[in-house]
Amino acid sequence: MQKVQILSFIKNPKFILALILVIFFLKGAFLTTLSPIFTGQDEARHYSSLQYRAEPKDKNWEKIDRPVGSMKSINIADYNFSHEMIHAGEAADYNVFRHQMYNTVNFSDGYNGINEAEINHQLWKPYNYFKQPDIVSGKNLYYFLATSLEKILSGSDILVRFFSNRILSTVFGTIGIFLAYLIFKNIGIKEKESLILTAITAFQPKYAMYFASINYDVLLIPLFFLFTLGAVFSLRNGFNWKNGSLMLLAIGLGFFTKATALILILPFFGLVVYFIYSSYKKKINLKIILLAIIIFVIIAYFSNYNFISILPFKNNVSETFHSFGSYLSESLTLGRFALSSRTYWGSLGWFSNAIDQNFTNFVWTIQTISVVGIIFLLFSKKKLDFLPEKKYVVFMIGMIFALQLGIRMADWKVFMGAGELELGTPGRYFLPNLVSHIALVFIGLGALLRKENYFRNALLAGLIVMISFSMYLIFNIILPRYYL
Amino acid sequence: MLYKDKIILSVIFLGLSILIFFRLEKTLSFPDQSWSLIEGEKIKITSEIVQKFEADHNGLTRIKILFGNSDVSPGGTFDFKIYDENCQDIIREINLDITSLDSGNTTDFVFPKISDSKNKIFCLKLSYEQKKGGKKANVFINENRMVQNKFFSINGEEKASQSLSMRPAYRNENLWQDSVELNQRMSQYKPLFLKHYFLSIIIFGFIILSILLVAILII
Repeated sequence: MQKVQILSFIKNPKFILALILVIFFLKGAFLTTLSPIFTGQDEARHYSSLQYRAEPKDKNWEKIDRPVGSMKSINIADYNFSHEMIHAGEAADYNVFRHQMYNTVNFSDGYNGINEAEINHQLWKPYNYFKQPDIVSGKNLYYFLATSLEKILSGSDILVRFFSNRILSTVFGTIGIFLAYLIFKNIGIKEKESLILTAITAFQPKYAMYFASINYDVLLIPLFFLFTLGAVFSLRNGFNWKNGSLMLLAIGLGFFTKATALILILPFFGLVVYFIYSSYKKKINLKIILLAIIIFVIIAYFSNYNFISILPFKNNVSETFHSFGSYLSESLTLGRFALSSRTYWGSLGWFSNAIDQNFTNFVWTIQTISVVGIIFLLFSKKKLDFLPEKKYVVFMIGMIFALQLGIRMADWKVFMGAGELELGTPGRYFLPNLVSHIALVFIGLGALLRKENYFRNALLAGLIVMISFSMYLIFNIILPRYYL
Repeated sequence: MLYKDKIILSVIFLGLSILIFFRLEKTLSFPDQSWSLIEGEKIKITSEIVQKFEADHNGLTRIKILFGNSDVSPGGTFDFKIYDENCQDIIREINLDITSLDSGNTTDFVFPKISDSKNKIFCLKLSYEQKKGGKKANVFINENRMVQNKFFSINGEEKASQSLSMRPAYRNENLWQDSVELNQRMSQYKPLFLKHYFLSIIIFGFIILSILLVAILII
């Protein structure tokens, strides 16, 4: 009897979901520890940005006039960061391990680094002494939250503050995983399959790596998931004030986090058009749709943001088209697609071996098969009970296209100014659509497999591959790189 | 789900997990950082490198060497041998086929642990044979006045007070001691809540719960 009770307890969906969330959090905490200080993507600059915002209002200290240096300098002292960041970075051997891929921290024999006591004593002020601080400027919701944590922990040393902020990112990532579960469940995938898809998302290597570093994308990505959830609710229950508010909230908060969120306006209006169209068939409250549009326009107006400025335009139409042609020829290459894909899946390129080189080829093969399945599903008249309805599939494809469009427009805009691909399209930029992407890949496979049992096996196989690749990156790539 | 499917998926998962941890166990050795990895003078290996060095610890199991070029395609073979002090008797030997170099142009030569290596002098010989159409490998040599650096020659030419840019790495007596040392390294420059016991709980919690999750989802 007891055995049966234990089995039914551990098979309870709530328990499994809690387990996935705990595992993701532990994995994030582990990754947080694995990467030495300031080694995340643009992490030093992001931490500098929130430290700058945490400074007292009365900046009664002398400022040094030094232009912001080259982003390629190998010495942290060349960057206009805070006094504390520069000295703590030097003490923790940042200059050694950051730019010499073959080098590590100069380790001591115990649990504390050689210069750790010096860092613990807080000998340096967390103030920026430069007239031109190396920071990301502008109002930003993520920085507001992270700066609040920085202020709360102001009595502690930089190691406590910095790594607590990384943990904050992991908390955002855990919320993202919970939202992923709600999305999978609400598009019509059954309970157990939704949990497996959630676990697959939690083990996507780049997602966890990104949520173990300080970066404003860690708020943007869950907000994209929140928008997706709102949209899924609207497709399921019809457009109402609840799901409309959820979508507008995600767009609004996203807008105050990173301009990328503006691209969500496209799927939002896409849904509005869809509901207006379908309202001729069904009774849907047009007043709510109109109200949502009015609220959106009011927010946009009062945000005082120059929306036209995000559109790429160069002098005149002819030059703009010419620039567009040059951009396409330079950016739409197989090499660049491959690079985006490799970095999206977390390949670090630190070691050369068959797994690193072939994992993305394997993923691309699966994705290609899945595309066939998606096409099959969209044009098939037979409905498979274990897969979502077509409207969810079309919406998620729309989300993928919208983000692609947004990222490439931003890339083109930077290309226009710089004359070269300065921004690029690294894989991490596409993470906001991770849930839609994972769902589409497996829905496509399910459409080809046709049977629920096979679909579940494919999901479990996908989970095993994802966990294994994630573990491989952690234990065979990142850990040896920094500690062996 | 069919019983057969459950067994197959479980075996695949366990197999892959064992491979990952076996690979980690194989590379779990700790480089002696008193040996500097510095990009000094770059020299092509045309014949052979001879490096005599004294081991500081027991458990010599790996030598990390910094090479001077990343493009060695289409590859070649490193002939790596460790001899006794007189460069007479071979103690360990590796033939390593490569098509490219690892992170930061390094390559690790991993061999079975030499348990009683402490204070012994070893003679390392390294040569490289590139494939047809390939390039020769370059190494870096540095000034090195450490007493542990006993002799160095490259392509038949002795270089006094210089050494190969390399690091010997050692294992402890057992896996437990290795994991303690690894934990110590990971704990450095981290706050209290990510150090030592807390770190152990995080790592083991993550591994055990992940395995439990897969098991629950499969059964």
